[in-house]
Order: sequence, then structure tokens, then C-alpha cells
Amino acid sequence: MHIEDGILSAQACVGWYAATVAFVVPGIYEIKRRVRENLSYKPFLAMVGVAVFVISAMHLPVPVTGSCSHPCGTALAAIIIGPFATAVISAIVLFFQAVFLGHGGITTIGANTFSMGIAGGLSGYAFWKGLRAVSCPVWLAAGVAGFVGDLMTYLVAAFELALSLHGHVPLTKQWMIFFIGYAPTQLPLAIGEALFTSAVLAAMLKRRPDLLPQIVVNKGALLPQILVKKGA
Amino acid sequence: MSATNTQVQACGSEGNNPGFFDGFTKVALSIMIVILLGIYASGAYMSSHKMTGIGTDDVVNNLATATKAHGEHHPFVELPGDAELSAFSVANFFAGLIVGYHWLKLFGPKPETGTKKED
Repeated sequence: MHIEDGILSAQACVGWYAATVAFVVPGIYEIKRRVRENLSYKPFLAMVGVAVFVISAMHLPVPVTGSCSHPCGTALAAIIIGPFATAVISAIVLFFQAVFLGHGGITTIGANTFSMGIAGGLSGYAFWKGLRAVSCPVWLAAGVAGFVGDLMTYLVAAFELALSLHGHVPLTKQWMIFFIGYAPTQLPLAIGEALFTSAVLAAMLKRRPDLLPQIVVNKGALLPQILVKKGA
Repeated sequence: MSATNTQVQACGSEGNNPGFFDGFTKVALSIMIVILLGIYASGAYMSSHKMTGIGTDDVVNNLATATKAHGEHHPFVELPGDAELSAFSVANFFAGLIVGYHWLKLFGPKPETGTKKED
């Protein structure tokens, strides 16, 4: 989903920057509010931000397709630090990746942030909240969030490309052409991201459930059984 | 006992002498080795089947350029040869330090607040 400079039109770049700003500004307010409410939020923000930087630059080979791709980590970030704050850290992460690692472009930071930080983060978060609302176990809800967030990132990246480049070809057809370019490699990685999201969240909850009050709500039934048994 | 020794012992999973590798290091190294083995196995398979291993981002960026791009695609900075490996290594080294530091701050054992007075 790291769209490089020179691909999208100037209008598309400006449009995606504007759409991203609409989520980043509330994200800054979300960060300010949660820093006041929770003393452990700042270290979480720093840790998650850097983790997203590493995860989204970590190209893993997929032998089935013979190509490499990377997970995103934004669904996990949205669960821990919030979906709008995830948009903020994604914009920062993509800026540093473009400037220091030659990974992505500057004119496309808006588009890349929208696909990875906003679409990936919000969709994962929506599934997480929806599944938790029906008392789904933490590990399963987190896994589904990771899987959906990963695939949604690439679905939206393909849409961004198709919207700008489809020309006389129907938009949906061009969208699917680009998505098929991503999907075969991304599908196994989305499964990996589901496992990763689930494992990391479970590890955090096992060690310090008190640090994640938005996850461990005051209903014992929603806690993972392992935590309830251990009296954590 | 010196302050440094106390802190090192407190970081051990058992609270006493943690040995050469403590529990956290063992788990972290095990996960790293499993991932690296997976990468090597995938790489060996791809190499034996003459697969390029190109990134999907590049595949789709090339496809987009061939479709109707508004210019030749290029990253903001082009790092030649091993410079890319170097940049990734430096970035990930410090990223690891920052993640580890904050992980310890959040999930590590709490340091003892009081110090025992020696008789």
C-alpha cells in the first residue's frame, strides 16, 4: 500500500490529504484527552507508534506467490490507542518511512495514511467493538480485527489507485485489477496479522489488564477465561 | 548490594538469579528464530522455483504506472545497494530500543520503592 510519488494525479493527492486531515485532527484531540485520563497512555502511544513503523516496513516473503509484502499493525494500534490516534501515528510513520527508508512517497502520504491508518485502523476497530459487544472472546475479536484491518488497507489502496487511474475502464473493474495484484500475497499475511494481533493483545492483558481499561471492561464475563481463572 | 545489581535481579523473571537468558529473552529469541526460519525456508523455496520475491507494493506500483500513471513512479529517496539495508538496520535498532524501553516501563516488574537499611 506504499503508493510512490508520480502515480496519483495532483488532484488525487490533495484530495487524499484533505480526507486524511479530517481524521488526523480529531486524532490529535483524542490523544490530548486520553493523555489526561490515563497516565500509561503516552508510553503506549510511543510503543505502538514505533511498532507500526517496524511492522509496516517488515517485508515477509510469501512462497505461494513468490513475492513479499508487509502487515500493517494498525488494527492492533486502534484497539490499544484508539482509531483516530492511529491515524495520527500512521501519518508520522509514513512520513519517516518515505523520508528515511525510501518507502512510499511524500505527495502520497495522504493516500497511504488513509488506506493504512484510517481504513485499516477504523475497520479493524469496528470489528473489534462489534464482536466484543456480543461477548466474543478477546483473542477471537482481536484476530478478526487484525485480519480485516490488513485486507481493508489493501482494498482501499487499490481503490485509491483505481479512482485516479481507471480512465475509460469501469472503476470497479480497475479496482479489482489492482486488488488482485495485492490479494494473493496479502491473504496469508492477513492470517499472520490476525494471529499476531491476537497474541500481542492476549500477552498484554495477561501481564497488566489494569493498563487497558477500554479492553477489560467491568464485566467478568467479557474477560478471557484464562484471566478469570488466574484471578488476574 | 549495589543499586545496579538490585535492578538487574528485579528484571529477572524469577526475582532471583535469572541465569544467562531470562524468560523474556528466551521467548523473544524463540519467536525471532521461528520467523527467521520461516523467511529462510520461504526464500529457499522461492529461489529454487526462480521466483523474484519482489514486493507487492512494487508490483502494483509498476502496474499502476503501466496503466495510466501521471509520471514515472519513484520513492521520495532512492537508497542504492546496501544503503537501504543500513537504513533499515539503524531504524529497526532504535525502534527495538524504544519498544523495549516502553514495554519494560509498562509491563516490566515494578522496582522496589524502599531500600532496606543495613544494621
